[in-house]
Amino acid sequence: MNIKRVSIAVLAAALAFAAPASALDFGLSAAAQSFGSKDYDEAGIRPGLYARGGAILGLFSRLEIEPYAVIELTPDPLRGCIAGADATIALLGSRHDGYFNMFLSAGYARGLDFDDPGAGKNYLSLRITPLAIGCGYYGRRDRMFTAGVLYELEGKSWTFVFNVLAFDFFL
Amino acid sequence: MMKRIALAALIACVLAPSIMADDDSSAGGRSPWFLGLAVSPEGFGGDSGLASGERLSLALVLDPCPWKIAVPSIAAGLSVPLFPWAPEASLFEARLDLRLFTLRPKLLESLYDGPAEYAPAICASAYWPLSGGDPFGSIGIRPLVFRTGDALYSILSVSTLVTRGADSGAAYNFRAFSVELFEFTHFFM
Repeated sequence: MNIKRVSIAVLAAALAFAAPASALDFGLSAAAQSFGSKDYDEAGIRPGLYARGGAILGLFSRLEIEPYAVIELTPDPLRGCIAGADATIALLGSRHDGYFNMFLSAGYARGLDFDDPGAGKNYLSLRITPLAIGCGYYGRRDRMFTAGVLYELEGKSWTFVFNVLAFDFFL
Repeated sequence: MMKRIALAALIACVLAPSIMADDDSSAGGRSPWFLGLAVSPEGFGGDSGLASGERLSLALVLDPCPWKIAVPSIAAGLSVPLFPWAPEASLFEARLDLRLFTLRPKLLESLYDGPAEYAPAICASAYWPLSGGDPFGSIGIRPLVFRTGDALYSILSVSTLVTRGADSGAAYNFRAFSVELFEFTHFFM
């Protein structure tokens, strides 16, 4: 029930901030992703080096959707994977031509366990990007120091997530 | 005699860059920058005996040779376990890179929107655990290295660790590896 309310609130906030875009835009994103947890086992995430890749779909001038996958590079390459999608709101202005911006993202993610496909855990995510330089107009955007949390729904545990840098390329 | 050798070496160091440098250096991605600070997230895998979490590497980079081929650079710095935080397991790293050749693809320049060079490299590192323990080494490849003015980017570098093979009977073991997701070097001198 709470999840439903949160989802509706996020959607309502996104639509409130959104303004019609002149056209849809599309981009690709690559980033390093860090996970910090008191208990990695409980969070369902193993400590390691992770890379994040995603696609950016700009729906409105202040709203974009980003489906993404986070894959484990070390200690066991490709063994761990999390897939999800974020709805992201631009807080300081238009995504299209605002050279400096700040973003708030909320979404859902699921851990994928290739050995046991049914064992993946479910997460809600909330992240803030305090500084983004660039925009769709320039074709490039760098999102810096993105920090947030993953909330694991079953075990009700929190995991800190951090992206030191995300590179976005708009097509 | 030693004085003459030292003088000859000094002259060679001064002249070599200008002899081997690109003629149209002002138009390319080359720059006068030679000393920078590098940041990279990295991790170890396999039978490394090291903590499996994410590490942050900070290093000083000396890149003094504005050549087109066989460009050496050296780096020295610390690799600190960040997630989970375990500074006691930090490593001191000294690394030698050799950028094999330099290309200036049009596609890269149009993506970057400015002068940019592609220069794949090979590398060799030596690690010393700050908490004691045996030093070890690594050799690896850096397939995606890009130089853009005062910055150097390296993406997805992979190395195999070289450890003493005391328990296996072999002189050296290659049973572990390291991955560097990216390295961003900003030159400030």
